[in-house]
Amino acid sequence: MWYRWMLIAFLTNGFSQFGARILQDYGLAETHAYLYLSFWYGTGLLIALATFLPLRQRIRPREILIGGIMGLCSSTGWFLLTGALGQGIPGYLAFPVAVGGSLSVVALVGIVILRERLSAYGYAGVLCGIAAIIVLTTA
Amino acid sequence: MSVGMLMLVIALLVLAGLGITHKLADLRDCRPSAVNVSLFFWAAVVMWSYTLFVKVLGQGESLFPPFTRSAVIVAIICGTCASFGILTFQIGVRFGPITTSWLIVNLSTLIPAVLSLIIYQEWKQEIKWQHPVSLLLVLGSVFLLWRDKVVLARLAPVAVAAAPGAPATVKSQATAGRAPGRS
Repeated sequence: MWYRWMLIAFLTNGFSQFGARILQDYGLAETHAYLYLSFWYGTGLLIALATFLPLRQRIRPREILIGGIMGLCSSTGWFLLTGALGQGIPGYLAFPVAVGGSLSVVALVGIVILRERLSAYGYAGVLCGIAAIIVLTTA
Repeated sequence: MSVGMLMLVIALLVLAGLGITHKLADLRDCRPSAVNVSLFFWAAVVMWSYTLFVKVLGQGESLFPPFTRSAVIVAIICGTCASFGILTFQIGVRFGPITTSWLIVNLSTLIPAVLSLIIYQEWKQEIKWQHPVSLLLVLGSVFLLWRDKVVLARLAPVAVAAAPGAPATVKSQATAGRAPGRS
């Protein structure tokens, strides 16, 4: 079950990022990325409403709070990353540090605080994946 | 520490916070579709506020053009994918550890890299050594994570289900003698 959901998340999340490359092809990536993301999040909201409203349920306060934290993390993460690039931090350093570092922090919290169990295969897979992302972001 | 480096470190923590709150939503019994609405609502509020108040009113920047209809369509298609992506991730994270789940979502950065190579024929210009190496590492990682799930499910289904973060449905499956995560 987990693998099927993650496969869909992997594919849809991957395709959702390809728009940035198309925007680059249009020559708008550096000047109008904020407007692109405004439409990106706006459409995401409409789709989210389309899947939630037919359930005819109310959003609970904790869902507003936790979802709100996620939304702020997502949007401010983008602002901070582009801000760091604007302050002269090179891309080959910024992307591996931000992505690889966040993966390591999440893995640490998962294993130490949430006490999630992984086999030797799991630990090797996590290390392999972090290495893949760091290598990719240096390209 | 320079301002840029400080922003980078905070970005790292903020992005990690995004991954952790995904699991927190599961632990607090939040419904994925409701969390998805809240996430996109607040993120859209931040982005549209920045666009309208800072860029348009503050700096007087022009939006349409240069931002064309084609760019809007791309944003709509990719935003749709993103919404489904986060919703399925929220559902899926209930059945597995955040450690590996967050990794898989981050591994998806390989898809735009591969699509760029094929669609924009970037392979004609140059293939950087990082692309095939990271592809092999991703495939290796996915195989190892699959083996991890199989091994844990076979060895101790009840122990896995009883672990912190395992959803009630998984726990009931395990106590009924079925392996979690394998339906």
